Amino acid sequence: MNEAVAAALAALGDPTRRDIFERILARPSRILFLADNVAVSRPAVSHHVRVLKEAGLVREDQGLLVATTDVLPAVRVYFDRLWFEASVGEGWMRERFAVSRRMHWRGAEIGLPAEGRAKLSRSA
Amino acid sequence: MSAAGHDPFQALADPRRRQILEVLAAGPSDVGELARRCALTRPLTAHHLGVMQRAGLVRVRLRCASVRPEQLEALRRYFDDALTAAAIASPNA
Repeated sequence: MNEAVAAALAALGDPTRRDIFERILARPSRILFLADNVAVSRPAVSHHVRVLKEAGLVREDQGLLVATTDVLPAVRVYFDRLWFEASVGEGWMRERFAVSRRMHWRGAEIGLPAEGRAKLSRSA
Repeated sequence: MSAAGHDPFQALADPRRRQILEVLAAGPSDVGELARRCALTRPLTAHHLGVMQRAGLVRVRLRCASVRPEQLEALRRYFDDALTAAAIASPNA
């Protein structure tokens, strides 16, 4: 797994930090505004924001904290891949390839050209 | 997805638990075999599986561990929504 994804998931593992991230995601905010709205001290908010910035989840634009799209696509791909593997992935792929391989060889046996064989396996 | 100890995000913050998830995504595994493949002791593997089970990420039945795709689906959706929101917040970034 990619280090950027690891850093993002490590950063979001803390519930308070994830809460702060979600607030910034919903609405670009300043540290002071966040400190007024979460149940932790201002230095704690600053610390969490620093971790979020280091993880590439948040950037600061003239004092305004904004969510970035730097690392989120890679995190999404990570879960897409895991989900695909775990749900349809393996069994589905194995099944699909077994069928198309079978049809391919059957096509070869009855002397169909490669193109016809491809069509045959697609219709399987 | 929020009660303490049941939070999938907290469960996934640990690299060893992500490793377990990655191994199990490829297919269900016996707990002993999983420990061997992840180079972890069995008690540690059992501990991590417990955390992941409480977070809804895995299921353990008859010493066989498997992932719960519905929780991965929820995480996928979370990051999909997060990406959409971030793209709207900083369209030029």
